[in-house]
Amino acid sequence: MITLSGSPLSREVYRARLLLDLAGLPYEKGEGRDLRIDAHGEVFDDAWRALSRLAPPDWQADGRWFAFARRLAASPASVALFRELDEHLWFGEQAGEPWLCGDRPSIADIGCFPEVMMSEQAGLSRLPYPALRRWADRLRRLPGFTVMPGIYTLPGSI
Amino acid sequence: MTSWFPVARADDLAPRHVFHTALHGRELALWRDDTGVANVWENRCPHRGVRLSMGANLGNELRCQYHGWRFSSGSGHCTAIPAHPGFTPSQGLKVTTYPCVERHGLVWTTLGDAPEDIPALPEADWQVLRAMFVAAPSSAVASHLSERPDVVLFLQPVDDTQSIVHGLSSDPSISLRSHNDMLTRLRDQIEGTAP
Repeated sequence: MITLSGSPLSREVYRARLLLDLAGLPYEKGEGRDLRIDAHGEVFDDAWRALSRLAPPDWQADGRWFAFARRLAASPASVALFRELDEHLWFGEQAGEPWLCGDRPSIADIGCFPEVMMSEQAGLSRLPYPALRRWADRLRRLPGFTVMPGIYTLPGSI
Repeated sequence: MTSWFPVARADDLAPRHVFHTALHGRELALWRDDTGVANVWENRCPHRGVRLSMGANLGNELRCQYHGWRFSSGSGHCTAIPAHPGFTPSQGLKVTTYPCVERHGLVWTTLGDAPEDIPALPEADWQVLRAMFVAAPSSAVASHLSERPDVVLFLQPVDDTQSIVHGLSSDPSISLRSHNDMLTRLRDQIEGTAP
């Protein structure tokens, strides 16, 4: 059994919760404000390590974009990183690969998602990043997607 | 200001997506309904002024995220107010809509009532480039654009400090990637960050 504890307002907790919800891993909610994941006795207080360790094979990411997600989380209002992300996603759309690591979502997409959705709070408008906004819509329509305060769901599948 | 400007690539308006842009400081919400008709609307719910780009494209209506008011494709008329289920909204209750024409693979609009003056192009198999956002006013961007027979560039003045460069190319031997590299260098040069 997996137990997830932590504040509902924490991006780190949200990252871990998104993986569990999207990958369909059953878990229970624990007590406490700090991030703590107990997965069959293995304990994590770091969302990134938990993403790598707990993601099923079809949710794994290639190293480049997982590392990118960690850089984005460390610099959540970086115009250069948002530009890099939008360009990558735009050319991915053209090639029929709408996710960061190709044709399926991965922990790289989950890793980037909270910072992208919270960018306006960090003073960064998403208006200049259309491919990024379409990617965020796709992620919000995945089965199992769950919200955190400030992030809404979208109705239905297309 | 009353002229026609491109405000999106036609395929920016993905199914069930609400596209967010601006023209001359006016924020716009663009969306395509399920029959393929594109809408260019002011990005503002007439109820409380909330951005419609935060809402949901339901296929033939756009729903505001705040109180769930729904607005019809085409007219922009309010069709439903969830807090008043039996109430039929008056015809005057509507989103501000703008003219919308799709041409050359781009979506064009005007904030005024000018006659449509979208440039005609010579017959060719035009490919639409990735639009390039530049953090500079359109006057500064315009002075950097040079003529090329195989590439046509159009400027979208977003507001006083930001612009978007839309482009078309008639030479299929040059990839979208190399056009994007060219526009990226142009952007960096204009923004003054070129090495």
